Amino acid sequence: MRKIYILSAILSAALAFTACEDFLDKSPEENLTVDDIFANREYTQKFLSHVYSWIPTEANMADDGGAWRDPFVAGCDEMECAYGGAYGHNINSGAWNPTTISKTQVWEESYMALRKTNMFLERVDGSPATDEEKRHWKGEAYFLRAYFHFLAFRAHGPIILADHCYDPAEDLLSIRRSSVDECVTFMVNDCKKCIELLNDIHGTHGEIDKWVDSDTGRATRLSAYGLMSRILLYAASPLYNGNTQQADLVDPVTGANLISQTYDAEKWKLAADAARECIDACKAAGRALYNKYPTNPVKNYQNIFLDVWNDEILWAKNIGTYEHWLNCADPISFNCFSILDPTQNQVDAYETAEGVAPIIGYNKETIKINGSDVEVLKAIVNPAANYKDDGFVATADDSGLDRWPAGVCNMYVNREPRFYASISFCGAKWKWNARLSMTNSGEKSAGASATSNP
Amino acid sequence: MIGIGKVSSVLLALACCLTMAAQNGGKKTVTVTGHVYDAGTKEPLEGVAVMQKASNIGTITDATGYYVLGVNDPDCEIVTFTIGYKEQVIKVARRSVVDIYLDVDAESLEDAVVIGYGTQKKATVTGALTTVDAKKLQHQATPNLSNALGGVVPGLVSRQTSGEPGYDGATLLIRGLGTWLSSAPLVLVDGVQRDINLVDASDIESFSVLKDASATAVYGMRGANGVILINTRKGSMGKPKITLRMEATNLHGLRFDNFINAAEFATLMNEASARDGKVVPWSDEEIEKYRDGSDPYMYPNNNWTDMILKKNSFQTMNNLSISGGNEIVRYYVNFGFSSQSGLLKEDPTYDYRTNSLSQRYYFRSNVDINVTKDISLALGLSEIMEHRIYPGTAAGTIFNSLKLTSPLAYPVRNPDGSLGGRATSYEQRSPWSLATNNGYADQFRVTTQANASLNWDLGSLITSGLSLNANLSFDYYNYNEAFRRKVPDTKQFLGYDSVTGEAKYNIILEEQPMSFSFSQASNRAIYYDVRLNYNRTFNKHSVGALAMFNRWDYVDLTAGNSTARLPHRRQGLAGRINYSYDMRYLVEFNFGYNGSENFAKGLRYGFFPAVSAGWVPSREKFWGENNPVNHLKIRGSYGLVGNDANSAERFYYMSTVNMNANSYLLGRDMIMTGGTAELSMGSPKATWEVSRKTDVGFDLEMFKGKLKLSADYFYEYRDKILIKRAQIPNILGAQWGDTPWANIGIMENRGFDANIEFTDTTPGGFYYSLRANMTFARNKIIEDDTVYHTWSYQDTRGRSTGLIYGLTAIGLFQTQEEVDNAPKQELDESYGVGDIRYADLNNDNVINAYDYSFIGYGRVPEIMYGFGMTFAYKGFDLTLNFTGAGNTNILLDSNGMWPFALAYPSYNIYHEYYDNRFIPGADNTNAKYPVAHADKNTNNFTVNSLYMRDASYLKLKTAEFGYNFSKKVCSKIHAESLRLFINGNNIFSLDKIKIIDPEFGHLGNAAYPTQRAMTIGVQLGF
Repeated sequence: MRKIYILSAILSAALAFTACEDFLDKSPEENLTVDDIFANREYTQKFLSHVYSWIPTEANMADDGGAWRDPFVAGCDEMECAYGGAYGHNINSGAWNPTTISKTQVWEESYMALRKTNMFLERVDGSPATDEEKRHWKGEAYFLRAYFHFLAFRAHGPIILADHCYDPAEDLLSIRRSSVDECVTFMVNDCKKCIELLNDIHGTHGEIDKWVDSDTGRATRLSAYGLMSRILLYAASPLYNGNTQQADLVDPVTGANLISQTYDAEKWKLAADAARECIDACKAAGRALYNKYPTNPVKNYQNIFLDVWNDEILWAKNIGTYEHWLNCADPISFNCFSILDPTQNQVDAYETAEGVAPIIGYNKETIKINGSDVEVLKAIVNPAANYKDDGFVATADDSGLDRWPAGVCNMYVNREPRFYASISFCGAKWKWNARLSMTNSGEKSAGASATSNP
Repeated sequence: MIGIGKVSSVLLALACCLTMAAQNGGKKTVTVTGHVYDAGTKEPLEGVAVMQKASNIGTITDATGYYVLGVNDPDCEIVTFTIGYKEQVIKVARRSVVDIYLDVDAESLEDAVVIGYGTQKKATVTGALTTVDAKKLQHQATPNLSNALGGVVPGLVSRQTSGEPGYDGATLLIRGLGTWLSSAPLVLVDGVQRDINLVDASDIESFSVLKDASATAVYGMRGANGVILINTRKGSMGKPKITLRMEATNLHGLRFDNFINAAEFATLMNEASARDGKVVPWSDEEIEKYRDGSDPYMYPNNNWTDMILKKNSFQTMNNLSISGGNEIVRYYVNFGFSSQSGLLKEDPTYDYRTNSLSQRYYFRSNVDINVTKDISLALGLSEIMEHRIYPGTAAGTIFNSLKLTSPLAYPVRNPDGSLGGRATSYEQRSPWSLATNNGYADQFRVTTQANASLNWDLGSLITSGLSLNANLSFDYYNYNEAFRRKVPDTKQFLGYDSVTGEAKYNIILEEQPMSFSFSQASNRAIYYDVRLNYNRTFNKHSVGALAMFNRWDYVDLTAGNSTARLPHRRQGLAGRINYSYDMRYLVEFNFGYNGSENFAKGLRYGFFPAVSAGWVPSREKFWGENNPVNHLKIRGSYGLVGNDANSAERFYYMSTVNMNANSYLLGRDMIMTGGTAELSMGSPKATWEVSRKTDVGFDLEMFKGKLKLSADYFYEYRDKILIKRAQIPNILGAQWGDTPWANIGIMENRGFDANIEFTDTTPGGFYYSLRANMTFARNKIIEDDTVYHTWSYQDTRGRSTGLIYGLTAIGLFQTQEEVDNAPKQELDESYGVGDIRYADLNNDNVINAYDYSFIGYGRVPEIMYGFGMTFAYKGFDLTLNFTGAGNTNILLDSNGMWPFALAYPSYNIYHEYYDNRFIPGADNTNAKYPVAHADKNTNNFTVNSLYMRDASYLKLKTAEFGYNFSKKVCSKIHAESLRLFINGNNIFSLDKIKIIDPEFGHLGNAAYPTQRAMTIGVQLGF
């Protein structure tokens, strides 16, 4: 009898151990896994929304580093970013190199976004959504995959293609950059897949569209056409089309050039065709150029950028209220940062109201500042233009467009409508009431100029 | 879940058997009588338990040592138990009178030592383990057991890095660092993972340190860093023995920060400004005002150290224990109270306490019950309540503020009685304000630890030597804190208005009513195991075996999220088989088979085997009876031990998701749609970290055991160290910092530990014991997934972990010519005479980031040693324990050594700097530190060898002098024993640091000073 007890005791102990696997498992009622997300239609859709969240906020041109800013606009010649830490300065000064580029986090975050995109593409078929939903979601995801590659491509040229969700167990170190041509083909193919899958999606546009207002912000076939056109334009540009300065940029194993060394005119043809295709597709979808204010060209131009989801917008990121933009753009005299500053060249580039260039070149001149000689550039005024770069205007704009008040510098008088929509100048009306002051002594002045030198 | 039910049924089955086993017996009773004597003095012994072996029949001797025992078998064996004497087993052999002579209990080879999940005769142990005589741990007046171990236990490395009451426990390492990640050993108290500092030193019955794979393999998953086993005292048979121990201690703070005064500070500011070509901030008259204190509000001279710290505080430790029992029930109960006061001064304005205080109420009870002849039950319960008070500012912040706030920053109090302060964010409040005027935190901690264990001798049921043992424990911990913060009226005094004469102030902080906040934390742990033991000797063959199953389930009850709230679980099997022939040839096999929640199925279980063997040549015939070496054992072991976790993260194998991930605005109305995302990608291939340990050693005894020597060489190869991938391409797309776990680290650690002890009593009755031990451990990183540097001297691979990384200083520039001829130092735009000159390691003629290298040992010493002695004569005894450490460096590179790292006048300056600095224009041949600069000079303010010191030390860690009154005196007060003693702790330290405790972190870290403890105590036994 006793032995039976003992045996049962020992057996029980042994049985207890067989239940071990369960004992160590995480309880099922707890947090979800990636598998659980794709087993639920709503969670799957939210996963795609998360993929969208990796789209950079290109409206933030000032800050470097951090998640998703656009450091490159300030690296172009039409604008100076008055924030000292802006990455654009590295681009302008030539301090743009493999070490400093990491400040922009473009490389890292592109692949973080691509991991999620590929994960979505690989798993969405197994989700319980309808076939039409899946088709649309995949179409969007292909566009996003092309777009995230494009972000890395734009900063780094030839990049590593993420055609699937990389597994940490893969030999990641052996994966090499693809050539620019391969990258372009890959991105263009993804755009084409998007166009094919979203053949009924034009972007909430009337009866031809499957989507409703609440879908606005998603990628459409028109977005893909636009992106494709942009990619092919970059591919045709001298940077990537027969750029012999980059002859050294080769694959470390095969020795093949990553940037083509022979100029190919056909690439321009492809770019032009893509642009044409895009325009045609837009027209077919009922899109047209923006012309909401036909009698006020200033306002009409301005509102292309202010009127959300107007006809000209093929794709944009919905960001809601974005005060940082206002803070960066508004002048110091309004307690903001005056960070986004057009260069004088950019200002001079706007034509007169008659469509004549006011400045036709610059002369070097030496002037005395505080007793020492300083070399400056002096604009050459076009004698054919109705333009004066000195003196002040006596009367305000009487055209009814309210382009300039009385007393501003003649430079700001009688310019084309885009000028008044884009450039703020000393004495201009700002936000329809106050006057801008850009002098040290001026009203509401914080002692700094909002414009910078040429 | 199912498993718990199953094991419950085991216990139920065992309980059913109790009643049946209790009915055993029925043979005729025979009476045995006799006396029990001390074998040495031949005096009769009172209160000795005399029992029939393996039964519940027993009695206790009276005052004359006489006993009467009725046994049920005239051929049985009787066994004696009493404290201080060895257990003795005597065959009755049908005699009716059996006199028994007991030997005084001294450590011997026949003794059982505590090993993993059991005990073993010391002579047959083949693994590397050290047992410590519990008495050796009682010479220190410290409530924290971890502070009593440094230099006492060979193989153990300890470092006490703070003297703050309640937080002053030492960090313990067994044989140094086996990995650059957590190297903390596993501490098991009564078989359960518990806090070592919650064990009262007087409660320790056995203390074992398991060091090699053979000793730790049974702990499989958690054994890689070594194991400390502590068993608490149990009751012994006899009439109640009451022991009262009371100690009163004066704590004397050591090595307070010693800063220069205001006049010196102002002088140094002038010197720095002059050096850097800036306007000199102070006139001679102003400096004189700082010196003579004539205008204490505008020209204050604060010695903040003296203002917030007092030299002495008080500690008391008291214990009352009662032990006794009979053949059925034995008990040990200890009740203790200790109180340790901190060194912080208080503001008499407040009637509440702000100085740190750590009080502990301690209760432990261990009861053993012989339920039947074969079944015994042990029940243990301990309750530790800690009441602690701290100032409203964390010690780190107070001592940081002490470093920051210079003597001339502002007065303690302004003319209007408000407290002085400055707008600078880190100097708004003075150290004194933070220490005494910031309210207090009142903490209460309760730890309940309960054990039940059942031991069932299956000898009569199945086969002799077989026993079943089941253990269950339940621990609960609760912490709560009431926090009352005070914001006092704080202003910056700007002087008096020249016209009105009114005092002018900048208001820094306005007084606020004391706030209240409450926080708590609690957790519980359940552990149980079931063991089957077999131990039997057949002639010269001894066989032992163990098979066991264990499970641990821990829940953080106040966890902040659902994953953290899930039970932490571990389970495993462990086993042991040992065989010895004639105690001469010894072989042992141990294993642990463990599962961890962190790994995926298939990789979840790890098997950790270890083999060891020993040979005792001293038992060979050729050795000879008269060989002075009476015992020699040579032993070796090799085995694997595991580790399953290197972070608080859990379920490494699983991907996690974020159900509230970033999302995207959709629609013309811009509606946030909600996002889901992968949070971490999971590491399905992560598995056990494995430590391969080799140990070769010997134990030797000479002169009939008077001299004992043992030594071990060890080599550990820690493989598959679990780390987060550091070098993994970004194309993987892992979220920031969330790279997967991989088993790719490798580190090795080697060294030796040795222990020698000589004990003897002269014919004249003079007892003396001399002992020494030493541990040396040096580790080497083989793979840590860091980058390979252009200059290999910057690689971590091939070097020890934790080394100091910095520039190699080659003195101070003495002349401009030297500066001009030396390689350009690109650390700061300006540097020159009086600044530090560095070695150009790569000979590229510039000093830059590529000239940093590993310049010194880490803070964990490679060498730890201790030696001590005990003398006793006619009731007097004296014990001294020295502890030392070597091969360790410390950096004295605090901002207080780098004037002026922040804008004037932040940061106190150490006298060490001031007295040894380079002074422009003076004779600087003996200058140790660079010239002062008006602002941060990054040429000097970087880690470099100029500030590095050898931090080796030798401390008289403890000394105790005691007197045991004779029986005659004791009987007058109706006591059994009476002992008076004085002891000291941290008595002195010989080292080269002088300005802080050599065990502390680098000087830049703010720390609560340690204390010297001087104690008087009394121990009374009834």
